[in-house]
Amino acid sequence: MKKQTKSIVRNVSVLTLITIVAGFALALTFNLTRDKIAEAERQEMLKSIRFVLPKDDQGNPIFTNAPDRMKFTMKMEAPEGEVHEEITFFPALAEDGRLVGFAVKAISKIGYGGDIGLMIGIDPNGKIYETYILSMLETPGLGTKINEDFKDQFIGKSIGADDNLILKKDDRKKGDIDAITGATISSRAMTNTVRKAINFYLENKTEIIEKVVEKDDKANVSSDVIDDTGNKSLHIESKDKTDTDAITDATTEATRAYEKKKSDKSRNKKNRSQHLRKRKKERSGK
Amino acid sequence: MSKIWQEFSKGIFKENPLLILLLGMCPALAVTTAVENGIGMGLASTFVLVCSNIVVSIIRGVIPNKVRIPAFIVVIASFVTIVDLFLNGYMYELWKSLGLFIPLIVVNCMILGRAEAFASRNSIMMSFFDGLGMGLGFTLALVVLSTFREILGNGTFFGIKLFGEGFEPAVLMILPPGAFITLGFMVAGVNAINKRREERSGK
Repeated sequence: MKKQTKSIVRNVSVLTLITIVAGFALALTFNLTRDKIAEAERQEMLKSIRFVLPKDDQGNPIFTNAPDRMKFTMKMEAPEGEVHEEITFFPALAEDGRLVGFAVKAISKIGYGGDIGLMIGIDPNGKIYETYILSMLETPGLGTKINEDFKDQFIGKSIGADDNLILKKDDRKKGDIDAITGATISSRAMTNTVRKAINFYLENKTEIIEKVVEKDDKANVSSDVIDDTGNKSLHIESKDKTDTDAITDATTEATRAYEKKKSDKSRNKKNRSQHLRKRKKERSGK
Repeated sequence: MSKIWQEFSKGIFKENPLLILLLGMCPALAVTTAVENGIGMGLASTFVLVCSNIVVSIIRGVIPNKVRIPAFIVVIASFVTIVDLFLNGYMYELWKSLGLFIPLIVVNCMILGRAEAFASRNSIMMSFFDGLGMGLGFTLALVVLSTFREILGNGTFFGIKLFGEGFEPAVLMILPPGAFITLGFMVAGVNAINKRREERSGK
């Protein structure tokens, strides 16, 4: 009996000692890498924000503020039985305080392998500039294809006249997004989350823009104005500068750069689909 | 010296952990969809294996037999966490693509297997070379496996497109069955070579 007690004491003490040493080693490493990890994560965040927001001709971002310092998070009301989802807005302001748009961070809970973190760049009207996948656990080579051509389908879309941001598979009439073959769940997860985020923005636009003005009083964005084409648009003016021409110039320049990018992309798509059609013909010819 | 070479080289071919001992299958099948991931996973595992082999060899005298497995696991898990933190801070892109599989190195039976079967019975020097050889053998096998899968299943090598637009990748190769099929062929090939070798040395 005594011998047994002795061996138990020895087992426990050796194991405890090992875990204590291991604990210290881990604490040390954690301290060594903490700043580096925080910095890497911030850079990744900034990279994604720069990626989804419009750039000038040299490829530099138009905004000059630090969107991650102005971010605010809101709760998206979920239907009963579902978890409320968070949505984070990173406002992007140009030097004169003009609101360039937002980088919107949303997380999809219905991915195939786990959560999909998305960054969606939108202009003040809710039109998508670009999207970026922050994190995902989708099947490599299948679900991960949402990070390839698939996400280009969102560029230039919003919710309104012809755009619905619904998978063609889910709604034959209204659908406007092609799912990836073999990865419908991943495609649906991304599409639905983008749609939800845009919807949320459009529904809460006034409140969101008020928050931006709260955070930075240089940002001056008055509420909705219906322009003569009937589209809702924002009337934007700057408190600091009264030189509205310069602002208009900057806006048109941004729009032009953005349209150019869009047409480039759609041209690529056209080429590809022509190529595919040609290939199909050849195959059926044989 | 020849003994060191023997311990080092056995892991690469004669006792390759993946192809002969069939250890560490879980990460091997899961991450080998791209060569880059294969190399990253292999090197991360090698680092953990070498470190854990050294530490286990150092403390092999003081560990009571009954608690040796938990003790080994604590050592291995600590090194894995260290690797995870460093990759997160210094190689963010790789860390992102390996994702969940870094923490899973803890349960890679290859590492526990080497600690139990080799490092707990051999000197620090030998354990180091055993770990290095086994780790590099594992890495090599992962690279071959992921090369086949990436080329056939995605049409790329190291992310570079190899074929024209007309190439239809065999998606199956990227999916789990593709990993099993490729691994099956590789194990068969290695077995055939080993058998021929044995016959030749027998004659």
